[in-house]
Amino acid sequence: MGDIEAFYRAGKDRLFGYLVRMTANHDLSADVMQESFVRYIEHYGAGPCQYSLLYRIARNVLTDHFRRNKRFTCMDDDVEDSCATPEQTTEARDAFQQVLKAMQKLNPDDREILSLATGDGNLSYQQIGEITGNSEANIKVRIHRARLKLREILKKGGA
Amino acid sequence: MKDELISLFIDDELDLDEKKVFVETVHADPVFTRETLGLIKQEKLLATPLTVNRPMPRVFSFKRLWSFQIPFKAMAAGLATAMIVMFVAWPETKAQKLLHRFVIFEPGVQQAEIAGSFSRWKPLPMKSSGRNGYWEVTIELSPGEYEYSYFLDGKTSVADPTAQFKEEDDFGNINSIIRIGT
Repeated sequence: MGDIEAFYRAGKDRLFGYLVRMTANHDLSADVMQESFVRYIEHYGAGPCQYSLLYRIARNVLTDHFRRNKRFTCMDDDVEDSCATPEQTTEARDAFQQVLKAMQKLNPDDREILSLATGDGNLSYQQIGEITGNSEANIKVRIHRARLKLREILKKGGA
Repeated sequence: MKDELISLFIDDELDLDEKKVFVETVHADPVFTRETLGLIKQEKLLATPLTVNRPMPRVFSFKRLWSFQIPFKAMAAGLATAMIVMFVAWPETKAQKLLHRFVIFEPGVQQAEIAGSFSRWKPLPMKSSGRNGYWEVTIELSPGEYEYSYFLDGKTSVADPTAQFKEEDDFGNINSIIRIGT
């Protein structure tokens, strides 16, 4: 029981970060994060804590959401202000929102792989391969291509 | 191929041979170095740390219960008894849902939520009743017994001080218990 609580504390912000990068939507990311933990605890709470499994569940929850809403990005106009952290300066906040906005311009596969690879305590290529069902060699190539595509979008102004 | 070393470097995925090639390339090729620095800058932006204030969902799981090694026969007997009771006592018509108003007095908080077995422990927002410090929400519930708790400012869990029954959950939190229509 204590393990699950520690797993939640250690994993919630990481998972939330992945979801914000995927959706640019604070509230949706928080809801999906919690729903993913609910499903994880319901089905796998008795076993060892596995991040790969948690992320696969989150991915499914998000896919369900997108399917219900018939769209593959949550952002139409502006990235939500609430995605920025209060400690950020206005400049850093703008820059972060710009990069989040650019992320939403990537195709869903590129956005996903980059979202998984980025952030505090980021996942290894092996874990990303387990989550997405791709080989490590394939992940290596795809992550770099996604980074270059993001750079191109940002060069063109990000939006 | 060498370009991919930049992402491997950013993601701490270089093996020793690749590290050697990477360092040599950085020394020999200023374009490669500029590209590396540019992508690191982009990554720093993208990796902006994010935090979320949501309490841990409390979930009842048969699988977790199973892990405590409750004897199979005892569980099977309990399940059979429950099924017989349900079969005998199940009402013929569907029970009508009832509205219940949950209220808590917490003048010092910015946000109050309620989560319970009726919401699968997903927090539901409560509405502030003006400036008098009361927070309230009205929820439609089927007759039965529910566990619930209030969450203040997204982090503190408190039991309902007005609830008659309380129970400690798996995580040491005190939940309130309410019976609707029974």
